[in-house]
Amino acid sequence: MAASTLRARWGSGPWAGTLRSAAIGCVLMAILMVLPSFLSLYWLRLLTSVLMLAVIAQGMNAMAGFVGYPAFGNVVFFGIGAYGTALAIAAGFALGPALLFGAIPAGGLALAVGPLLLRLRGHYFAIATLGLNEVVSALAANLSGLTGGAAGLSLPLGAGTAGDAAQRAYVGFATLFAASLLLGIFLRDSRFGYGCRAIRSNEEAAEATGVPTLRVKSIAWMLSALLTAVAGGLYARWVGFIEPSLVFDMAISVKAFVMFLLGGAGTVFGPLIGALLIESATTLAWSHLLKLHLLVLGVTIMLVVLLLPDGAQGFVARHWPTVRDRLRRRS
Amino acid sequence: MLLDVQDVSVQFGGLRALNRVSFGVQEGEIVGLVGPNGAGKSTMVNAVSGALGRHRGRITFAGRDISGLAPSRIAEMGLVRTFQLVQPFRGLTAIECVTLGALYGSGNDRPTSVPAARHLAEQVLDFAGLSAVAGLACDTLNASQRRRLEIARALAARPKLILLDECLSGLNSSEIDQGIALVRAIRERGIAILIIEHMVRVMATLADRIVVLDRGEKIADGPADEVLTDRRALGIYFGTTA
Ligand SMILES: Nc1ncnc2c1ncn2[C@@H]1O[C@H](COP(=O)(O)OP(=O)(O)O)[C@@H](O)[C@H]1O
Ligand SMILES: [Mg+2]
Repeated sequence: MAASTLRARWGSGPWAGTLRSAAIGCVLMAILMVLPSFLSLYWLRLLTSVLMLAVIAQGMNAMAGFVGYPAFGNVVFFGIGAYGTALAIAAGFALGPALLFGAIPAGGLALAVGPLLLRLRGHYFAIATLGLNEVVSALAANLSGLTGGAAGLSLPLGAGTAGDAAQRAYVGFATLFAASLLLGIFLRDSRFGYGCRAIRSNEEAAEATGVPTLRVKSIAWMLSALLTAVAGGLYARWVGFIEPSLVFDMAISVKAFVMFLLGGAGTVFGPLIGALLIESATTLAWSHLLKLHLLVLGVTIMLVVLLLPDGAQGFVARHWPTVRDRLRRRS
Repeated sequence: MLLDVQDVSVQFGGLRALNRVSFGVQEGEIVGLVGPNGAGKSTMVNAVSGALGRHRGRITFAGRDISGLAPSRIAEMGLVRTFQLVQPFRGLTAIECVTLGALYGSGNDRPTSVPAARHLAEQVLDFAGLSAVAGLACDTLNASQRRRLEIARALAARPKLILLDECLSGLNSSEIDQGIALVRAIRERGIAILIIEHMVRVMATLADRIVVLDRGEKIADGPADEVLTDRRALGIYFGTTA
């Protein structure tokens, strides 16, 4: 079918935006599938961590971006996912089922405390989620009989070389990344997504229009928790050793928060863009300005937040029409 | 009786905003709720729509007790309100606001997909005279368009009863005429309306019955022509704007 026919049929229909995002997602996934054959182990690992951060940032975006609830303490689900999965692997489960042992408790926790915490708004909700992370991380550190406590938990090595393990981790995170894009499209375009965006925009009016706000918020947080927990589980398998201070580290949440804001809050691809930008900046600063890299990172973040208040995707959306018109006129 | 309010009282600290008020709205009827500022009209809308949480007395809608239900549950039953202070959904376009009403709102004839809801929203926007601004962000609309967008969002929710809290205030005379025509057209669809408005002209042309509140008390309730010909009391009924 010719591109013009396709555009006539889909370009302006009710699902136009959804199909466009799905198409971009497919192209991205195709690139991610062929990329490993061109990359050294170093770059493969770097790309894997970009994908992992993009997934965690999407989990943050789901709550803070789409629903408007800054779930700062979301790293708690990463930690729960990491511990649940690691313990299941240690007990002899394969990775697939083991991930469920991380995801189900994380999703269950979000559903259980959501109806309570999600009555709080803004800063209060943010602080409550920080508290949740402190509580769970203290539990992980103190239940040493189960978790190994502060000393951490080592996993048996997987089969094959270090390169094989890196490949497996890459495939795992790339798959999860695809799921995170689907979640973003769902949160933007579905009925449920309309409910989420209405809550972010005006919760009282949303409730008056018939959106069961508490239920929608809780389910959105559960979806965010599931995604983040599977990322934690894959991370545990990837690095083979976890401890509370590593997987319940607030720095992970902060990074995820900066990334989704930078890429564009409440957008499908924003978290990936943010993760790419921040990780490249960090890597560059790390290799060239070892002593100053935190300073460089901090200044970059401040500049970007000041100059791109609606994120990179918003910036492009704002300026693309003018750029396109100029290009057209020239050609 | 579609809506039946029995002995409803609301207390805000030391202030009794509503004192044992009873009234009803029949299917397809337009009831005007009038009274000076601070009489308790918006408080009544908040109590009926569930926004208040707690009140004393009994409120039934379509035969079911709705006291204490969440506003979303009440909306789902077909009782939808607008706000006196317009509540725009910042960041959503006009068509998205109305699509939201179609996707949630009443459980009756709810569109089963987002495109179907969008289609319904297009029709409702057209009905409310807002087709031209469908794609604009709803916080960029002017006062009159915002008021009509509120009504359109409520209409897309396919209500049995719609509560309009001063949906014509702040509009100029020709905009008010458009608003009156819109409210009439809504009634012709068989939707009952509880309308709060200060202007005698609006009440005289629209309301079948009028309920008058003053300082939380109901002081009159009857057919519109009777209540409106009670000349001496008009000053009290409509406050200073009469
Ligand atoms: N949430 C509230 N808390 C305290 N007092 C309130 C609240 N809402 C309304 N009131 C008071 O209740 C009275 C009735 O207000 P309202 O119902 O808004 O009046 P009306 O809509 O008839 O102008 C006023 O004195 C108002 O100040
Ligand atoms: Mg009022």
